[in-house]
Amino acid sequence: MHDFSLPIGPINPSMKEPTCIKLSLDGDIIREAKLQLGYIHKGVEHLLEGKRIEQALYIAQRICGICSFCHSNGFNQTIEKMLDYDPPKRVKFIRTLVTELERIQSHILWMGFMFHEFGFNTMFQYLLRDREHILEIFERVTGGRVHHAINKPKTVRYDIDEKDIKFILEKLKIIELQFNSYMGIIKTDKVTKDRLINVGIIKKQQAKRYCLVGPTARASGFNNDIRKKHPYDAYPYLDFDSIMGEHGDAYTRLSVRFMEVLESIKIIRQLLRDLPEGEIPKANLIFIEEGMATSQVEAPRGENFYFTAVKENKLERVKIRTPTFAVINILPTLLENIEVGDVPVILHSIDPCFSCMERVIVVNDKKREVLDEHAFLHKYCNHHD
Amino acid sequence: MSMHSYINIVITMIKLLGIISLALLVDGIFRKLLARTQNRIGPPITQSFYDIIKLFGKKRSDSKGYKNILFKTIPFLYFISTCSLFLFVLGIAKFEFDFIMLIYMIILSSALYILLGLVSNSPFGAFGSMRDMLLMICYEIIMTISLFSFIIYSDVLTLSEMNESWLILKLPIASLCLFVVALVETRITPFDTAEAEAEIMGSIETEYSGGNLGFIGLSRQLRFLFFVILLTRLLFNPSEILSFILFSVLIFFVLLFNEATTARYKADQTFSLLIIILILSVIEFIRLYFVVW
Repeated sequence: MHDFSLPIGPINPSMKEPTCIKLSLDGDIIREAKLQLGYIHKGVEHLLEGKRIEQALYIAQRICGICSFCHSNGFNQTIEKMLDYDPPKRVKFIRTLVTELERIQSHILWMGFMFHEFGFNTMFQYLLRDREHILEIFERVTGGRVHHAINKPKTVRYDIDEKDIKFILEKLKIIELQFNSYMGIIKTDKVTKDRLINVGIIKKQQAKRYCLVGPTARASGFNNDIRKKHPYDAYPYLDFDSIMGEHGDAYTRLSVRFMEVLESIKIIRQLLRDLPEGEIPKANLIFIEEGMATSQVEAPRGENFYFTAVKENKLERVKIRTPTFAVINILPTLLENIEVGDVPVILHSIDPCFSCMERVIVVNDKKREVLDEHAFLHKYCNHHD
Repeated sequence: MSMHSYINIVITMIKLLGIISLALLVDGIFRKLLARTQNRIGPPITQSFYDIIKLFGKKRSDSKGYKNILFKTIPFLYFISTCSLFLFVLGIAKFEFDFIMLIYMIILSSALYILLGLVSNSPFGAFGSMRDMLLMICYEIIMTISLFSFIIYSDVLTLSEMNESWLILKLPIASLCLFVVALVETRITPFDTAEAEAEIMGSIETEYSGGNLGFIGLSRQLRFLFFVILLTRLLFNPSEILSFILFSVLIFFVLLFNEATTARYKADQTFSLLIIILILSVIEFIRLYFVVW
């Protein structure tokens, strides 16, 4: 029996997407947290079924607004595996360049919102200003600031030249300078440290048990960086480190992402320095009679898994496991026995993206039923609000 | 009443209207400068006037607490109690031991603000009120002790008779305590815990709309101006109007600096910090015992 119930969401300033967390409070302490999803389900997997590969690629890169390239890259890899095709090195380098730029802009946006969650709005605004440099690079290199539709099966849509390289290096220099000064703020600002240190601790064992991915897992000392474990695109040719943390609290997760931005800048400099000479192949229509393949890419939030089955050049089945799907399960555990004031910080520290993650549960019970998670729990698990 | 009394009432009303306009202007400047420090263009400095006019022109939305008479009247009472604070700092109302009345009015105003959340029948409002109540236990005591420190040191019976200048140098700890109280009262970071929109949305003001929200907004802007004037009076107390404005601007910029450069503490962290400030204010009060008597 709890004395107070507080709903966070579905519309709440701390959430950039609609979802609901029902908190049962004992004074200021949370005794139980129930996560309710299903507000933004788009049925993407079903939408992809029956589409031609070119059409599907177009949809795949619109699954997420923050890491759109990682989705198109994951999907593209499955197609290229089915075709048994290894793209030219220059194509791989350009793809890796866009992946790392996307990681930088995603982390910067995340950091901005993280600071906003505990009231440091000046840092939020400064970080958004810095993100603008990356968006300008995207605009120049890919033609799009948010959805950089640069991927095509077997190739990329645009090549980069010397002027682009100079432009990218100039912009990266600005971001690097800013980030070194922000690092000083994070290390010295007392209020920031008080709000983040020892908040939402995920131990290494927990990270393994919940199969966490991405920077959230790495901050707990659990390394599952796909770029290192299953290198793809240009990563086998690059010298870089997976940024690891130990303590697993919100402060470590912030520090890990800060360091990852600097590491990504290092990777991009290597890519631009070692960019192979040559032309990128022209895009041609492809045909796959039948096949299935899987792929893994390291999106900014963690491992992005794709399973694709094709029949007569049309998609028969697509299964996408986004990073948020892996990390969201730990959220109710993290929210128990903490203060309400910590909720936005903890929720945001795992970097959830609900719009890419929402799935339905299909239950075949003589007649076909399509239920969201909440309805499923309510009907089959005797789960009551 | 004589003709003279009527004229005095009219003059007082004009002064209060002037104060309200000034408060809105100060809020507009605050928002603009804060935006500039955050690398934003920000709203025009007259935006606060537009906001208030727009709010008073809007209908009240159908809120859960709308049938409650307190829900409808308390925003106005809160506004009146906040306006009345200026009667003391501007010397319009002066009588012996008026500072006790001033302390009472500040506490009344804060209590009415807490009541706003409790009568709104909203979990966010109730939660904001609960937090504010927790903090109020601390910060109102600190304010009372600090104000008494200033009064006792100046050895006066009314606020308008205070002629000691640069008390910030003579009573540094009491000045610091009063400054922290001003941060809490004006909801400036790191002490805007009661209004943390990330977790409890609009907090106490969640259910209010239209004119009622207008009164709450106006009161907030008036409270900010009041604490700027109070801090200038107590900490510096310049005799000339020009230096008064200059020191007020200085206080304004210090508050702005705090808002722009700090994050928000949690309720328990704010409470722990206020306990330390409370101890400091008591130490200063005890020190005064030896200095004055």
